[in-house]
This record gives sequence, structure tokens and C-alpha cells, in this order.
Amino acid sequence: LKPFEQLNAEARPDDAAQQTRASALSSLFREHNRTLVRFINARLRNEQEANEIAQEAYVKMLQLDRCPGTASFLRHYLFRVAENLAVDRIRQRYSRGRLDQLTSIDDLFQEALAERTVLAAQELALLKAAVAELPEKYREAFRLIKLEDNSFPQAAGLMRLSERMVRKYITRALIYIRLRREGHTAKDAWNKVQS
Amino acid sequence: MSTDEQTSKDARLNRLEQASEWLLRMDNPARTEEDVNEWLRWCDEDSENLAAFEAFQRDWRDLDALKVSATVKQSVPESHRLSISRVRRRTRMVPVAVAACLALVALAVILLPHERELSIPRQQVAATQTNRAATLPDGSRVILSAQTSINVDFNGSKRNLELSAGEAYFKVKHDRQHPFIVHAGDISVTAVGTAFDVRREPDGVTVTVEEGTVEIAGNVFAKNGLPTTWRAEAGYRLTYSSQGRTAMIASVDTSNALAWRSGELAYVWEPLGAVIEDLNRYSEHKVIIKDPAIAELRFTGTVFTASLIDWVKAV
Repeated sequence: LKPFEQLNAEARPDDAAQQTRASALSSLFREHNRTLVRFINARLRNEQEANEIAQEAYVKMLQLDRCPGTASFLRHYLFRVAENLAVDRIRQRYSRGRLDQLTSIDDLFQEALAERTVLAAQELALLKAAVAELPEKYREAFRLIKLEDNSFPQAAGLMRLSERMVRKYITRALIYIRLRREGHTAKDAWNKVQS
Repeated sequence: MSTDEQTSKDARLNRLEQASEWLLRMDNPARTEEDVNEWLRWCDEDSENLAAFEAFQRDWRDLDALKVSATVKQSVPESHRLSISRVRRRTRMVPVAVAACLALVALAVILLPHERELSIPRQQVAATQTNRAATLPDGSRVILSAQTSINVDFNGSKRNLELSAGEAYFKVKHDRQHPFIVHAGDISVTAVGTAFDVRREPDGVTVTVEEGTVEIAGNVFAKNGLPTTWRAEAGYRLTYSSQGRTAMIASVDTSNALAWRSGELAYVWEPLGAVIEDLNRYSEHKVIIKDPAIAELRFTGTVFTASLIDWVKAV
């Protein structure tokens, strides 16, 4: 990836209005790039591609003919552009034709989109142990949602629970796993989750 | 949540709670613009909010690793791995039942025209070297074995899928209005709400039914000039031979026959050549048998796809 300043210089450097906007975008980049990458990654589930899309979004912004105005509007616009680029990217990856229902296509390829990470054996063992330490209902919800890719309504149906309850199990399981990764003991982490 | 509870909790925990909820909200493919705007406001509130969100996104991704290991049984001791013998992987091993069934299966039915050739939007679930599970848009579940890909076309009144190679297991979401049809070369398997497995082989197709009943239609005319359909019920396997355009149906122990889903491949008295061909789908390095005499050697046992290299060395 190129540094932002270099991109900046490549985009019509002779235009004064462009320069003003470029500096506005430059600060936008500095302030919001991390958020932007997280935002795109939630869609694409791939760090590398999320970074590429973020960069593409800035390039698109630099090429605009009219300046979109205030900083907050600019940011809003940037996220819209990035979202569209991310959706295009998903289309490109998998379609050979017209895709009408992107939402369901997302579900379909969730598995394929997921970035395969290579975890150190120790780290993997910790994750396994942390999941195994959870109470049964939590483990069940985790299995249905994370390991078997059910939607929340599906998992709620299978567990005969409300969707809200399933979400609660998952968020608590996530917090527990996070605390275990940060070095808390099982007992300590569980107490915190329940507090 | 009351304000008392709120204050008694430490700030960090509070943040983790919010961040984990945001992870799920942002992860939802149907997230709205309002979700995004609220999330941005939350990120703006405190720089540590985003850090917590980042941590959860990383955890969420890392937890995918459990998915892979969950489908592979690793608890069996090394020394037992090759000696466990279990299953009749192919029904050509049971000639007696087969002959009886053959008489039952030749039913003539009109073949439906194949409008699926015309519909454009199709997606593909790509092949990998391990088993992979996915949820289809209708809620049906599919497990693909290694080196298997399917084309999916759910746009018409039928749920059309195409299996061009390999093996796939389908757990079909019940929907009487939209028949679920797996096209596999010479045959098409139609189900409404059942669970079954389709496996393509160089010389034919096998269909193993775990739950319910499926209807199997020949896509090419039989030698007597008539199209054919067969029905197979739970606990039965149909083996179609493309050469004779015939099928045989025999009972099968489905839990053993479908053991590949959990990373086990079981064989009984199978030519080593066929075993190797099967295993090559799971491996980056292909094994080639040069001596035909070796390819004819018989193998009985279970192979764990997670420890293929060990198995090859042992052989």
C-alpha cells in the first residue's frame, strides 16, 4: 500500500481547489482510517482487502469534481464510498452474472470469505479451552452461531430461546474469551462476565 | 440496566460489553446505515472503544480456527488409526441385494425439460482441500468434501444446484414450493426436505439418503429409449453407472458411509488405486501409483484426513 501523501500527490496536483480538499481528506484519513478499515473488514473479513478498499475509497474521494463540504459530511461520504466498493468487491469475487440479493449471497459465502488464519498451537489451545470452560448453553449458542454459521433467528429456533437471549450468550462468551486471552484466570473472567 | 448496576461495573467491562454487541451488529450482512452511524458515534466517544472493537474482530476471526478442528476427530490414538475397519464405502461390494433391487428400479417417467440451462445468475462455492460447511440462501446446509465445488441457482421456482465433481452432503430446508434439485452429470436428485449425499465418480454417481426420500431422474435416455427415475429412502444408497445407464439400490449404514464429514474416510477391501484417488482430493501432494499391480492391492481401514501424510508413509 502507498502512503496517503503519495496518493495525494498523484491526484491532479495543479488544481488549487483540489489541494484544499486533499488536505481535508488527508486529515480525514489520519483520523478515521482505523475505523474505516474495521468497518470494511466487518464486511469482507479480510484485513488485506479491507486495507486495499480503504485506499481505493480515498482515491475515489480525491477524484470527485465537487467538494462534499463539512468534515462530518465528508466522513459520511467516505464510508458510503467504501461500503459500495466493498460490496463491489464481493460481487467481483464470486459472481459470473447478476446478483440481486446481496444479503443472502453474503450468508452463502460467509465461509468462503472468512480469512483463514494460522494460529500458533498455544493460542489455538487457549481458545479451545476457553470455549470448553463456558457453561453448556453458552457453548451451544457459540457452536450454532460461530462453528455452524446459523443466523441468530435460526439459532434461537434451535435452542428454543429468544434471539435476544442467544445474542446475550454470544456477547458474554466473547467477553469471557477476551478476558481469558488477556490473562485472567477462568474464575476471575467468569466473575467479571457475570457482574 | 439500572444506573446502580452500571456504576458498580468497571468501565473496561462496560466497554467490552458494548464492543461485543457492536461486533455482532456490524457483522450482520443486513446492517443498516443507522447502525453504521451509531457505531461511528460510539467510536468517536472514546478512542479505546475502537481498540476494544478491533480486539473482538480479531478474536472473532481467530475463532474460525476452531471451525476447522471441530470437524476433525483427533482423539484416536495413532496406533489405532489404520486398524479400525468399518464400512462398505461402495455398494458394488454387495451384489446379492443389488440384483433384487435392480428389478424394482426401472420405472418410466417423463423427463422434465431442462430450463436450468437458460438461467444466468449462478454462484459457485469453490473447492478447497478440506471439508467445508456452508449455509445456502434458503437455510439448507451443505458440507463439501475436499476438491468439491457446487454451482447454486435459486432464482427460479426450483432450487437448482450442480455438482460437477467430488462429494457433497445436503441437509435440505423443507420447502414444498421449491424443489431442491442436485444435478450430477447423468442424473438429477430431487428432494423437498431431506438429508442426502451425492458423490461423483469417474464412472458414475452414488446417492446416499440419510433422512426422508429422494427422487433420482436419469438425464440421458436408457438403452431402451425411455427415461428413468428411481426413489431412494433413508438408509439406502443408489449407485448409478454411466456405462450401463443403470442403477442399483442397496441398504447402507449411513453414519459410517457419511463419516467423511467428520474427517474420516473408511474403506473395506477397496483397491489401493481407488483409495489413493479419493485421498488425493484431500492432499496438496498427489500420490501416483505407477505399478498397476500395487493399485490392485486391497485396503481395509479408516484414514483420517488430518493425518494423511502419516498414512501415506505407513503404506
